[in-house]
Amino acid sequence: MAPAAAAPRILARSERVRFLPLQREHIHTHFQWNNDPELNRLDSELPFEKETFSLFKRRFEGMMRQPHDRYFEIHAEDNGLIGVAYIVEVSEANRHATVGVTIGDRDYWGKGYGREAMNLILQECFEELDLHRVRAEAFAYNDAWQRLVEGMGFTREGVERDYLRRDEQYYDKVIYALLEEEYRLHVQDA
Amino acid sequence: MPRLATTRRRSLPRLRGPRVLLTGLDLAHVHQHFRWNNDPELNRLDSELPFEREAFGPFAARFERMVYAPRPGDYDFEIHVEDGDKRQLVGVAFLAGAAGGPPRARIGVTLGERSAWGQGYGSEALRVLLDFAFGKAGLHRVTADAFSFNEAWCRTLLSVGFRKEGHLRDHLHRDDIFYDQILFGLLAHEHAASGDGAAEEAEAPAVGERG
Repeated sequence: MAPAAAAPRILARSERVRFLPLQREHIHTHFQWNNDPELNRLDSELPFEKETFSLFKRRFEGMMRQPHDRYFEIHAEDNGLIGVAYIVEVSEANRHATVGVTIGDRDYWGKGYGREAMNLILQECFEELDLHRVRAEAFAYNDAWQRLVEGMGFTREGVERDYLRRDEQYYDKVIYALLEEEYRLHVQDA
Repeated sequence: MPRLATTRRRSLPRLRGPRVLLTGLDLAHVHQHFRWNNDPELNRLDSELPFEREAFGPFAARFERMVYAPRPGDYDFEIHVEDGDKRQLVGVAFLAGAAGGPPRARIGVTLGERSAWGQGYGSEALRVLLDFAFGKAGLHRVTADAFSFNEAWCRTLLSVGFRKEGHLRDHLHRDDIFYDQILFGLLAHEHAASGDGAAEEAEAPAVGERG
């Protein structure tokens, strides 16, 4: 058995997925995903630009200390780190936040890991943080993510036209949200 | 009051409409801005956070930073109403987040002086600032949002050409009630096509809006 003191705290778990805090020993994997143009295209509002390791390290350490935003490492039961999930823009006064999931390891794409991680994130939001409204955003060309959030009961609430600029072209950003009562219904149905 | 090392103020252009003049923030007007900042009714119209009185010291320090060390891409203006030789400060207008990414920003207008409400000054200021946003600032998209109960601001946005883009349910929690937030957007080519501009005398609805 692994010595308990050395093992990182498991923050949440489901059948195939565990959430762990961001860990410094995995910084090189995070750095690699951060500088991956295809991942950037799917989850970053800023055009791809390679970041130096020292700048990334400073940002990563900031994310580890963030009191309001929560970042999780997604670990697969049969492997290690496969992605990240986050709860950001948390407003206690308004009981809302924005969430997202990125599966960085391509071997784990299209197998339901994103959905499982999203389920855990929603559990955190509605059971632990007592939120009322959870928002998710999708770039117009990210069909997989849109299917995922729609499948989880999110409502498409609006489209910010020409929000994003990529490859000399403008793209829309779609805004989704799930309210607490809708989450409860969805969980009952599941 | 703490003095910042950089006292060279980024100069903002003066933007003029038929009756309003937009200028950069002036430290000499800090008391008037402070009064608006601590006004619960204005807070209700524009802030996502519950009203909380701010002490003068912290506010003055914040205001000074907005004057002398604004964040890149943030433009804060004072709105003055001009009548002959007289000029009266009646509110503020801003563009925020216009740097570091795609050419877009968020816009907002606040008429702090109640005497200036309902006379179309808000839409006039908005038009003048949109001309600047799509002109000199070179933006492609301007976003605005409104709380669902602020109908005057919603009407003003539609009257200057904004399109409703979304309806965010229960975004705001106030006095134990959830309210929606309405999302608006205006693109450069739509603004150009509308022929809307500061030179146009506009008949505007009652406004008491903040961004």
